[in-house]
Amino acid sequence: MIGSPLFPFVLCGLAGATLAVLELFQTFDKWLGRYWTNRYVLALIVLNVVTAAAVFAFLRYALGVENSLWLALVTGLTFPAILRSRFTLYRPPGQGGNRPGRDDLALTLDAWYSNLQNRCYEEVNAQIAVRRAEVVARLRRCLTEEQLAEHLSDHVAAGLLPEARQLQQSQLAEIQSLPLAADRERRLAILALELLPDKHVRRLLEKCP
Amino acid sequence: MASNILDLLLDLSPEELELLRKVNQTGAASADELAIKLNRAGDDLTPDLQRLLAHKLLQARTVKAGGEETEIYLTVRDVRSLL
Repeated sequence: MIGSPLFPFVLCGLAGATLAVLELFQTFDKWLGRYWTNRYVLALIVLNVVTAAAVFAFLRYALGVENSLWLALVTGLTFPAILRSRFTLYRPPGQGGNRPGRDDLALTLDAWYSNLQNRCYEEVNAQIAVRRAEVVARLRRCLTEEQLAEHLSDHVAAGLLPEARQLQQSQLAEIQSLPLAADRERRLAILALELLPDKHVRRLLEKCP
Repeated sequence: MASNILDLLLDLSPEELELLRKVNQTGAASADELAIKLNRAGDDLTPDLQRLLAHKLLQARTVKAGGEETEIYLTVRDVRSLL
C-alpha cells in the first residue's frame, strides 16, 4: 500500500479531510454528526481533499519534485495556506497592495473559500434551528403545560448553585405569567430544551407516540 | 459596506447589541429562543429583531417545524466579521 503511487494522494487527501472536519467540528460541535451529509459540509470536505491532492500533483508532476512521504506530508501541511490566505489568483495592473476598496476586482481563493464557509455556516445553523424547533413541537405535543412546568420546577429545585437556581426560577415564573397559553407552552418547551439534560429530554420524548 | 455596518452597530442600544451578539453566538434562533437565552423569558423580542432586520444587520428565514411556521434569525456575513 505504502509503495503504491496512489498512497501520497490518499495521505494528502486525508490531511485535507481532517483539517476540514476539525474546522467544521469546532464550529458546529456535537451537531455536525447529524448534518455531515449537508451539501455545503460535503463541498468543504471535498474541496480540501481535491486541493491537497492537486497541490501534491503539481509539485510531483509539474515541478518534478521527488516522490516521498516527506513531499506528501509537506503538501498536507502547507496546502491550507492556498485556500485560506489571500492567495491572489487574478488582479489587473494598478490594483496591487491592500488598499481598502481597491481589491474588488481581484479574485482570491480565500474569498471563494470564505463564501463557501459562510453558506455552510448559515445553512447548517438554519438546519440546527429547525431541528430544535421540531423537538420543541414534539415536547408540546407530548406534555401538557403543567407537566412541562413540573419537570422544569423539579430540575431547577435540584440545582446546586443558588444563583443559577434563582435565575431559572424567575425565568419559569416569568413564562408562567404570560397571558396566552400557546406562548407559555412554547416557551416552557424551549426552556426545557435549554435547561434539561439531553438524556432527560430524550426520556420525555420516548413516552410520546 | 463594512464602515456602514460599523456605523449602524455603533448606533445600536446596549440591548440591541446584546441581542445581535446572542443571534451571532447561537448561529440561528427564533425570537422565543433568544428571549430565553437572554434571560428575558417574558419579553417579546420580535420588534427588536424586526428593527435589526430593517437595518440589514440580520436576515430572517421562515421554516416549517412540527407543522408550524417559525421565523428564525441569523446574522449577516458582514456583521459576523465585525462582532
